[in-house]
Amino acid sequence: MLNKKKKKSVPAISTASLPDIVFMLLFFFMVATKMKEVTLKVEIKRPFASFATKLDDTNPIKTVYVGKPIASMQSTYGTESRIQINDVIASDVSGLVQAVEDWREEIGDANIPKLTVLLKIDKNTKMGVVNDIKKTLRDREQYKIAYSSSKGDDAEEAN
Amino acid sequence: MAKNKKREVQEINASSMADIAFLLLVFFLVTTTFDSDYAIERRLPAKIDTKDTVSKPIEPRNVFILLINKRDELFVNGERGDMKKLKEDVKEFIKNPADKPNLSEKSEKYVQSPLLKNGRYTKSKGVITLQGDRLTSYKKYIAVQGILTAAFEEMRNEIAQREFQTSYAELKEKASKGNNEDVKKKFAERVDAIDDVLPMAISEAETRKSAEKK
Repeated sequence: MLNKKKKKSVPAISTASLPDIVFMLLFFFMVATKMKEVTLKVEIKRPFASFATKLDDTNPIKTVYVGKPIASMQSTYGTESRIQINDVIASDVSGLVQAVEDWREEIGDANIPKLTVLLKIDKNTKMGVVNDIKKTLRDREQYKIAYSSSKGDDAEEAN
Repeated sequence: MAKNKKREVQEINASSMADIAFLLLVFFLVTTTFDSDYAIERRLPAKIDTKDTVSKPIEPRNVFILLINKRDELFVNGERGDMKKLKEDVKEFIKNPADKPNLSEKSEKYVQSPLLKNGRYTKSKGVITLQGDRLTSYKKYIAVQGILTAAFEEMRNEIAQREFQTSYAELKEKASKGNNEDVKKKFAERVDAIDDVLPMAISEAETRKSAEKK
């Protein structure tokens, strides 16, 4: 029995369907990919919250980033927490005033009450900066905000 | 010409197709970030422009004071608080099922909405204030905010289950997604009715200046 099998040569496996499989995977990733809209110049690790909801993306969302500047930016911006708006690191919180004006102009008058400002803030930031941002937004009557966070418990904190 | 016709057209070798597809695949694999945007939504308190509007002082029993100091320690009404117990404490404070005198008062105003078939609902007068220090870490602040949101979400869910036999999250989902505007509006009204019975009464007070800050 063994001998018989050995004599027969194993037929080559057809690889004709390989492209199909690969294409299927490719399409999946193409659909699932969301391109980053800005280059981050600050490092952001999201904080954990036991409960968080998905943002309703039918309404306009604009993002403010806060964190320590990334290594290549530290020579110009230092290592203290900085605020990044759009593609630039703002010198201080007052840069937010202009940004809110720009966003409002961009989305149009009708959408202004729907605008949510998403705060993507590094978890090791001190609340002082966060509070300055909140105060500025409140002064500009931009009341809808959201704190970006990961769902679940912080693994590092558990120890 | 005639000669050409007789010749069979050579098949194109498709074996490199897989390579090309792989290349593209790898590109998308690398660039993909499954960045699901989870967030805690909040509404900042409206600006008060006139100073002459005298706001009524809130009764102490109606305020649930949360304070996180600069060492990230949680204090509930002045005493050291436990993160694990916080959610239940908040729910008890707002609902006050046993009508305890030290927990939140219930308003005599009943919420009556045609949508709510259980009729009258008492509204809690309770307000939760969350104070931080300028040196409090953001992660602690968000952890507490998450617990508060979870507490309110659970309470709203109870109402949603009782009134509409569905979860609050599902009502919200249906209110924002879908093609039929009328259906969306119907669910939005239900969400509003629940929010009216149980408003998210969290006041994010200004952070206090720490002595360490110069």
